[in-house]
Amino acid sequence: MRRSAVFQFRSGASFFHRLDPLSKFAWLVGISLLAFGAYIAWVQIVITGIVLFTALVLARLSPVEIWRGTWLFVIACTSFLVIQTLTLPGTHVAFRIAGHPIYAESFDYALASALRIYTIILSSLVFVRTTDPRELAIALVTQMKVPYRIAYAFFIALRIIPTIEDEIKTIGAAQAVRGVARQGGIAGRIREMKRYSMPLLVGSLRKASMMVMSMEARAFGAFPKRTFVEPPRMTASGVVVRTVTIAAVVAWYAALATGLVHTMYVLAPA
Amino acid sequence: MSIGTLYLIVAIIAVALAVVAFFINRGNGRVMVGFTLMEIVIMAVIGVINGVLGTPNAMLGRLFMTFSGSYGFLAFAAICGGFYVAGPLCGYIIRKPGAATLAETMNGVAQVLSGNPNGIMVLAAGFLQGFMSDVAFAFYGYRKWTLSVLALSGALAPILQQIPEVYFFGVGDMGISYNLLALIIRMGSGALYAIILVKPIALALLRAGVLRGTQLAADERPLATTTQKLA
Repeated sequence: MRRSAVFQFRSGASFFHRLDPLSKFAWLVGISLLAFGAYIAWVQIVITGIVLFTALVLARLSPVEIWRGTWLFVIACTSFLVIQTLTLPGTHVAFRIAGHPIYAESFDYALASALRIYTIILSSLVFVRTTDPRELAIALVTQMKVPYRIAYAFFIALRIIPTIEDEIKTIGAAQAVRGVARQGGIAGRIREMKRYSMPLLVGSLRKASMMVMSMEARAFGAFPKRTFVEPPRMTASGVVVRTVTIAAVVAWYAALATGLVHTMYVLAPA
Repeated sequence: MSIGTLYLIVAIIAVALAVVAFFINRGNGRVMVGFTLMEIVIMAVIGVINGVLGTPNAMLGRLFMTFSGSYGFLAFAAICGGFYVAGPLCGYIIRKPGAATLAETMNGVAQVLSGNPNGIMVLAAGFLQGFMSDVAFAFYGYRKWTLSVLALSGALAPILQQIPEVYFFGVGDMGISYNLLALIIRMGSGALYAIILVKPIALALLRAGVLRGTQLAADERPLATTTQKLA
């Protein structure tokens, strides 16, 4: 399974699948705010643990699915961890590698940075995997009062995302049969991107415009308001998720503002 | 002067520019103009594709920042223009108030959903950069579409957008000159990307026939007819 295939909605019966889209979005925003509000390793470890628990238990994603969706980012985060640990300055030497001092402060900060990136990506995966884009569009209209034409246009655009990789392959094959060779190197890749991006954009816009024509032919947009057969509603679990998320964010930033918790380097010896 | 004061001044300038742009357009009925469904879909598609393509760029940018040490934020600023293209592009195609803002907001949502490592911050960043791109078009009453206006649209995009990034990336401690230099580089990058990419992409899409019904198609039609006649 490709990463792009993992990064799309799959129906299911987990707690997170049953949750309304906006409660899940509130959770996503909350995790992002918490992750960016802490440069301390232990806090990031706790947040990563919560998101992993959510992914495995509440959203019932398998470890294989999580790995397939995030392995590229795991490599990137590990490289951040190694590079920042080796290059950032510090005062307390934790240990030495081949004579090079590894500082406790640098490692703490680097671990926090790497985990922050991973947490955000994993929370996005949980959201995308458990949220039907159509339900998200309907929730935007019914709960957030976004004009339904904007919400539906966004829904049309979201439907294009999973097809992008297949589109690129089709464009590549079409160019190959016309004798366009694949190019190596950074300059070649940039030229390739230029060659691929325009047909991709044109193809996506063409598909979308055909969809718009058929929607307008069925009188879409004729009325100022639109009703839905089964609009997603915020359940009691949704209220709990939103309340806990908001409380956690407010409590964390209040603790930071009042100096109750330090912002960084707490693993370093006093 | 502290970093907080610097960004307060930057924010005041941005708000003042927006207020001036509002008063320029207040009398000519170009403050609130409705979009057709096709226009909204064009904005959504361009915003989402730019957003999805922006996610690997953001990851590369993060790696770039890590490798470049304290100069990372400045080096990343040089390629930031790529993230601002959706706003000027949609503004240029749709030619209505709010087009750049809506496109960049959708860009931000697409980036959040596709796993951008900068998290929810890109949602706020998308809105802010789109809003400032719109301000540039508003200065000319949404009537002038030259390269200089596009450059201004790209250049204004990072003015408010840099403020949350400074907090989240923790570069406020790097000093006023460092932060000011980062903003100037971002503005230059935004202008350059807008000059190089916006017009060629928009005209190529127009030639491909996927922008029918937009203001750009209407404005360019006499030119296209003349070119066809000459050919």
